[in-house]
Amino acid sequence: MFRTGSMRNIYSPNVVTARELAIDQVAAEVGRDPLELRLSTLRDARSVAVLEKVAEAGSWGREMPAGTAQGLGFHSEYKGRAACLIEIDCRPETVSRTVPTAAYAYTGPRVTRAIYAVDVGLTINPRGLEAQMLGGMMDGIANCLSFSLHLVDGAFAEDSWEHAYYTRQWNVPFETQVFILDSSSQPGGAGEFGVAASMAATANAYARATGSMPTSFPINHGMPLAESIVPPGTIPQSPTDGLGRR
Amino acid sequence: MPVQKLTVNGQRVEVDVEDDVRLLWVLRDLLDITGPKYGCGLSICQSCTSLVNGKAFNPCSVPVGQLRPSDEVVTIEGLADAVDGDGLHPVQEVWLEEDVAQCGFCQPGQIMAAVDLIQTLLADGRRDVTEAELDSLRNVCRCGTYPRVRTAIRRALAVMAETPVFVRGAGR
Repeated sequence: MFRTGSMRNIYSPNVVTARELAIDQVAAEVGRDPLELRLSTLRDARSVAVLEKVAEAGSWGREMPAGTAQGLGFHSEYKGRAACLIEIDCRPETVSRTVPTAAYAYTGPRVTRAIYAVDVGLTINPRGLEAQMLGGMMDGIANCLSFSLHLVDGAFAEDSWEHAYYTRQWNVPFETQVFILDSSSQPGGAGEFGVAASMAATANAYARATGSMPTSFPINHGMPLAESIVPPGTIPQSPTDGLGRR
Repeated sequence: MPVQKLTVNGQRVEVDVEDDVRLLWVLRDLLDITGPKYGCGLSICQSCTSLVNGKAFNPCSVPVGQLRPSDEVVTIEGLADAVDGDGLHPVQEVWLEEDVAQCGFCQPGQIMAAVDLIQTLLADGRRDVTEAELDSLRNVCRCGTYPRVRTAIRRALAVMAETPVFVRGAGR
C-alpha cells in the first residue's frame, strides 16, 4: 500500500518502487539475476550505463551475511537516467539498536551503503548535482523505511520532528557515492531525481535481506510512536533544560 | 523589568527582559543575532545550537535568567573570533571546502554541534570519531546534507588534531 503525498518527487518514488519490486519478483520467478534481467530489457545506452555503473561500483552480487543484502533501483525522468544500489542491514541487533541521544526513536533497518549513478545530460555544477543526489537518497531511504504521518481520530499524531522520522544521522549510510555520467545531451532536472531509485533500491534490498517483499510503506510505519513531550492540543512553552540537552 | 547581564560573542551586553524569556528570543529579537535559527522551540530540531562555555546547548530551551554574566555564549556569528588565529574557524573552512550547506537553515546548528563533538573528542585525546558518535548528532536537516556533515566532521577532526583549537570558555 502506497500512501501518496506532495513530498519531494511526488508520485515517482511510489510508482517506481512498485515497478522495481515487481521486476525483482519476476526475476525470482523466472530464475534470473535482477541486474541481468534489467540490463537485458532496458532499451537505451544511457539506462544501461547508469545501472552498470552502480553494479560495478557496488560489486553487485558480492557475498553478504544473512540478514543483510543488496538491492537495485532504476528510474528515468527529467530527460535523465538514474540508478541506485543499496546495501541494508536488517539483523535483529541492528533493527533494535538505540541511539543514546534519541532514546525515543525507533531506529529499524539501517542502510549501510548507498551508491547512485545519474545522467542528467549537460551537467552545470557537478558538486551541486552530487549534493542533490545525496539529499535525494536521504529522502528515498526515509520514504521506504521511516518517514510517515499517522492520522488518528482526525488529527496527526506527529506533533514535531520528535516523531516525524525523516532521515537522521542514525539512519545515514556509512558509505555514500554518487557518479555523474555526463552524456552531454539536453540538460534535464536534478532537484528531485535522487529519490525514486533510492527508495526502490532500499525496498528491494529489504526484500532480499528479509526474504519478504514489503507491501506497505514506510516499513517502520506500524511501530509505536514514542511518548510525546508535547501535551495534546496545546502550544507548549519551550522547555527549560536546554543547557543540559545534547 | 530585570536587567540581564550576558556575555555574547565576547561582548558584555545588558538586556531588559524577564528571567523566564528563552535565550533564543533574547538573541534573535532583542540583540538581532539571528544565526541561531528557530525551528521547533522544543529542543528537538537543534537548529538553534550554540555554545556556552564551549559546550553545545539549545538557546530555545534556556530561560535567560539561568545564565551568569560570566558565561561565554558563542553563536555562529562569533565562532571565528572565539578561537585564536585569523579567518574562519577550521570547521567552517572545511564546511565550505566540502560544500556541505544546501538551503542552509540548519547549518549554523550543524556547525556548532560539530565543533562541540570535535572539541570533546580532542579533549579526550582522540583523533578519530566512531559511526556511533556521528549517529548521536540530533540536528535535523530536511535537505539531507547528512553524508557531507559526516565527511566534514571527519576532515575537520583531522585538521584540528594537528592544530587543536578550543572555543573561548571551553573547559570551564
